[in-house]
Amino acid sequence: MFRRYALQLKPLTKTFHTSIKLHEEFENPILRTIRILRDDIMLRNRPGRDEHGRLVSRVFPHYVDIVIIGGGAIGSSIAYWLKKKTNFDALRIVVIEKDPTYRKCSTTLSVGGLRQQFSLPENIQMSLYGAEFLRTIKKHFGKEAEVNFTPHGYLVLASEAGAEQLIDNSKLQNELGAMNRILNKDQLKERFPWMNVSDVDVGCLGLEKEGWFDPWSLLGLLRRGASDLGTQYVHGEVVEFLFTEMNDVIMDGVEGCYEGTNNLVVKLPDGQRKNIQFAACILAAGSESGEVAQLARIGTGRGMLSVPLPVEKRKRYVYSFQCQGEPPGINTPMTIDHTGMYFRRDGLGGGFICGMSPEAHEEPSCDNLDVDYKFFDDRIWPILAKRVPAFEAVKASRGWSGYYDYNTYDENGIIGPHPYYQNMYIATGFSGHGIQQAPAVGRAISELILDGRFQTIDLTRLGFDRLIVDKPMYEIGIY
Amino acid sequence: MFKLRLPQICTKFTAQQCRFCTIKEPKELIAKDPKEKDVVEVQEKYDPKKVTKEDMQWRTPWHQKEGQYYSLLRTFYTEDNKRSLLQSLQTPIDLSPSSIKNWWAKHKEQVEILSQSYLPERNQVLGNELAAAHFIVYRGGAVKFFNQDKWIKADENEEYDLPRFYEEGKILEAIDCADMNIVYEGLENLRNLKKVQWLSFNGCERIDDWCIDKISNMFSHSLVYLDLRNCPCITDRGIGALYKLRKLKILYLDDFLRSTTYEMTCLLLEEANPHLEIRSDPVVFET
Repeated sequence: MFRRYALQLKPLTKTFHTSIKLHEEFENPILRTIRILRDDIMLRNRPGRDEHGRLVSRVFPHYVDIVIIGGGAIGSSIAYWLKKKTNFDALRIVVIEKDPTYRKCSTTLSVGGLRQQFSLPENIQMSLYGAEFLRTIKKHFGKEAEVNFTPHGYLVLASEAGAEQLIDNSKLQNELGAMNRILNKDQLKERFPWMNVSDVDVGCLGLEKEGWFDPWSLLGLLRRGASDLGTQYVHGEVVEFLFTEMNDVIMDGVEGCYEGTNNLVVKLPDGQRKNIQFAACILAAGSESGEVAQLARIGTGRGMLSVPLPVEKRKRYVYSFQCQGEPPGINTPMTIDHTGMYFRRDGLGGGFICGMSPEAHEEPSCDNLDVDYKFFDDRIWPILAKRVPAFEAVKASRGWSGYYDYNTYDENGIIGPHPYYQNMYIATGFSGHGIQQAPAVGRAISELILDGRFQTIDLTRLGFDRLIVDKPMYEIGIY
Repeated sequence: MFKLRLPQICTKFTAQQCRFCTIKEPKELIAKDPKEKDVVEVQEKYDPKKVTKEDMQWRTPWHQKEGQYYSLLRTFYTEDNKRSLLQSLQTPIDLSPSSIKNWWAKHKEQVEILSQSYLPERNQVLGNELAAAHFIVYRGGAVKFFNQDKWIKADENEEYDLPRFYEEGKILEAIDCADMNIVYEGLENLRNLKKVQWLSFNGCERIDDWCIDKISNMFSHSLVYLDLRNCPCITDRGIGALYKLRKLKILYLDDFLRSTTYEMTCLLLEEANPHLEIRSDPVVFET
């Protein structure tokens, strides 16, 4: 009888010694293989990403491929384009931004004007691409992306002295694909009855792709787009570049040994200093580019390095005012006077914003961001009241200030590689029209780095080399 | 390994005697002000065209130097580094249904844009008016010419009666793009029409503010009637740009009471153009 029991128990005990783990649910091996393959395909299990595919790793990046100094519109756009043109893991890109609130960023100052009315073909093409980018912004950043483009046109006025130049510029712009039209005095008066045209000779009215948009939205979208594609933003300030002598590098125009840099020091907000080793560095620090360039010995060295980056901080004001009575109606494009004063409608209830660049001798100091209302009363208001009689009684109700990245050499952007360093690129000095050119500049720099040369718009003439051969690229008759 | 010759100073660089650190005030060169003209007259008038790409290349490329040349292998070297090919090779293959769906939608969109893009040959053979008519009627719209009472529209076999070569005197009066899938790039085909007075985009879902910007420029000289009903992408900012249509008399909109800014824009538009009357379909309130 015991034997019989033993026989019955035998298979029971046997099961306790098999390799089946009782704490796990059994999974069919074929289904399990399919599950793992499916997860691989759906990219769920990639390291360092959350379920939306965004980068979650927030470890400080000590080794990166490309470091971008400055995370404003230009820097974010470069990061976005570099990431867009490569796949997720191909390049490790870090953007160093001093102030993530963007309080001192030039974008705060921008009134978001979109125009193709420049005199340099490069600028016209960059702005045309900017308009194209804004139009197709939903393809880049998803269906919710919106920059509130207001297609109300852009009117540039010229006095008798500047009339000829304005007509020449308009011809060039139309050749390159912009749409604008020269209006004479009577046509201006007929179209814009609110305007006093007594001292205006001609005006150039942008008909398509001109107007204004919300620069903050564009900055936010570019930044979000870049970080969604895997760019890491670091809150900190570049305080030092570390140099190494490279005896094996031979370069034209370099006296003595080439000293390159592959290492920079970032000061974090809590005072820590950390190193970042990079393969390429992009200088897009806006109004502070000049100082950052000095850290990289641009302007303090010998030979090519004795040419400084001529980008300075310049304080500019924007004022908003409310017009009582009969304000210029809906037929008010963004208007630039021949004195350089500009204004545009802000909302529909008679609110306007305006601004103007001061003369060289009255540059305000850049120590703080205080707004000088006297400047409005003394300089802007007389022009404003003369141009638009309805603005006779206006007062600046509010004003804000910000810094332009002003290029003291020729007031145009410097885009391209630095001739001395093999791995340093510059994209700064846009002197007030940076925001609409940001998409094109980002694309251009990404082409330089990834494709080795400009592919779409040839910006060679706007490179740093123009400072070395002393060939300035001025805008003529453009403010 | 690449140490071929001793470091040398660029001869061209020193010969040109480039002026380092000479940052001039821009105003020195440009004659902006008539008062300054007398002073600047001595200097040549500045022209950006005189600055060429070649000026920027102040270093002689290595292979152009004396005693240097490209080896024969250069024949097989290409300047194009095939970045996009590399990118597609590196991108992991994603076969999830949603990504295939996205890819297909994107592909269809590209095909649509390509098929609607402007063809210079079409306009050279047919002239602007007939080319626009062909473009519209082929895609399901209707057109009407001056001195003709009937609308031309494709029948159920997608056949229609339009001249196949340029004919004089055919001038478009009205274009009906109702329920067409017309995109921004397609609007380029409607440029330079002489006297279009009647235009309807009723039910075109792809018409947005950028399209309005284009339309308001292209037809600014002639358009009298414009129908923008059932275009959900149009906002008050786009409607505001219609001030450029100076002859517009009737404008059909969806429901101009949908927001305060929208209504305000409509009122301002009527104020700027006294002949304009903005109409909309009677609003049905759901109970």
